[in-house]
Amino acid sequence: MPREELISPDGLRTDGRRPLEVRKITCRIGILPRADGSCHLEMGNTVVLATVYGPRELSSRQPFSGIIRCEYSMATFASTDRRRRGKKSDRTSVEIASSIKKTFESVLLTDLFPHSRVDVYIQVLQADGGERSAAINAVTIAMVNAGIPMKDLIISCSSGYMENTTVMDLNNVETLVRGPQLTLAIYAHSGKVALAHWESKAAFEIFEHLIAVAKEGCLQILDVIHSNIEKYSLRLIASRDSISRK
Amino acid sequence: MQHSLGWDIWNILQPKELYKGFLQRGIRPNGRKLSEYRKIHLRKGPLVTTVDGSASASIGQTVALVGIQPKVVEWKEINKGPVKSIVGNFCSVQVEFPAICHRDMRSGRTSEEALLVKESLENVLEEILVGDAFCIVADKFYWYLQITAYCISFDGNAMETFLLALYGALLDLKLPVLHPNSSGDRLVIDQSQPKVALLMKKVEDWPWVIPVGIFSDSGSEHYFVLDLSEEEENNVSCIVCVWNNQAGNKVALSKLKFGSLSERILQQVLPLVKAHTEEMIARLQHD
Repeated sequence: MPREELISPDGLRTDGRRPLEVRKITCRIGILPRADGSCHLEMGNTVVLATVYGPRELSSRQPFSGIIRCEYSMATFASTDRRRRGKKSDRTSVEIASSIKKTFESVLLTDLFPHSRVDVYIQVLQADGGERSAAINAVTIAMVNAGIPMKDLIISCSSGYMENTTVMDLNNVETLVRGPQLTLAIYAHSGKVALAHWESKAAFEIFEHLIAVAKEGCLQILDVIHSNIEKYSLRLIASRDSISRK
Repeated sequence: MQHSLGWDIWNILQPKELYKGFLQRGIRPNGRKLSEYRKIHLRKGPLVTTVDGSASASIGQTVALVGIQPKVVEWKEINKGPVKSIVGNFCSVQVEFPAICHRDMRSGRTSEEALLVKESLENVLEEILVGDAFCIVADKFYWYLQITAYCISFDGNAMETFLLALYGALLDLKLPVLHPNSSGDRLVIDQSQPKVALLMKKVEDWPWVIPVGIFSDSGSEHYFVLDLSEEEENNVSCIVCVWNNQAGNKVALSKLKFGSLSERILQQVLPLVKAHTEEMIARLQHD
């Protein structure tokens, strides 16, 4: 297979973006009425649906603080290459689920819901790179929608290094190259790192570059997500006002 | 002093009695009439990059998403089985009720509902697909459709929602035009021609299913309810799926939940079923 260039001489990537540009983000909050919190997030062509149920009662006797359970699965039609025939315990899915669980355990105020559990279900409907980041962002928004108390929002972005350029928010073509890639999740207001997932080997300077670029990407994404959450909340408040005025 | 318990307490203690009280007045607890459907919405083509045909359908709060991925297979010489069935050879259906759809459903366990829906969808596909439409190069290359259906949110009446989504996805499906290359062992996509839809039987002939819930109380009174929500599915004594097509000349029945049934009830149900089928097929054609 001939290697196509990932970055054209003009400095544009395969999908026409500049190296330090994230993809277009669309999010729809609260679309599933039966779930406590839900979010349908699109980062470019990657579409992820996250639902949060909870806090609900825990059957076994667990010590005091609440726990989180997370399940991540990719739809069979989500990607064109690997065929997943209904196997829930795919190794990648289990690994991503457990890393998301650990990330959110650090940010949820678990003392406020003792003897309870929060269930997080993530379904990837279309995969075009950056599913881990999209999943984390979608879960954050779904948690906000469900009203589960958190210390901070967790925003995530990926970054990679190819052809001597650091790029932000990788798509599928850039992920398959298997160059140095970093998926970073930060706490929105303090800027500290919540999760860092690193693939492949690279020099330390490149690693520092990638962290800086990913953090910048996270801040860009935070702007979009924050404004979406604000709009949604204002809409809810406005509808409540219109009901009480009657 | 007489206390009257709130209706939500009655709903926990004696849901069937409460439900019967409403049915006797010809209305449901949330104000819907007995044969009135919830808001039906069909959206074709929500997934664009990885699937060639998709649709998401919702009836009330039940949402189903169907994606069709076509693949090319080389025909093996052996015909499996005496009858050349469409489903085994040219398409496969996978139905899942993942954990996101319902509070109490645990993932990893194929529920009965999923199996029933899968069977019904396979039967429907046998009816509406034409075997010759799948042939690219005779006796060598054929299309194979991988149909995956997910329930995103469940609130009763999954059967109709899935059927509507499947029909929408089939209507949305666009296959690329393929030509064999010069040596004849590979296929090449013809980029100049636009994608074509799959050849199928015409929409007016497509069957439709309507699950009817029959609430019978001590054998004397019967009420039939269309478009059951999840709570109602637990309350009615029998659910019958009535299959028919727009012309009304082919009718079939299948039971989802066992209970008593009589011909008189069916006669009353059929006109409603016919009216609804016409409405749904008309909607499919115009959307």
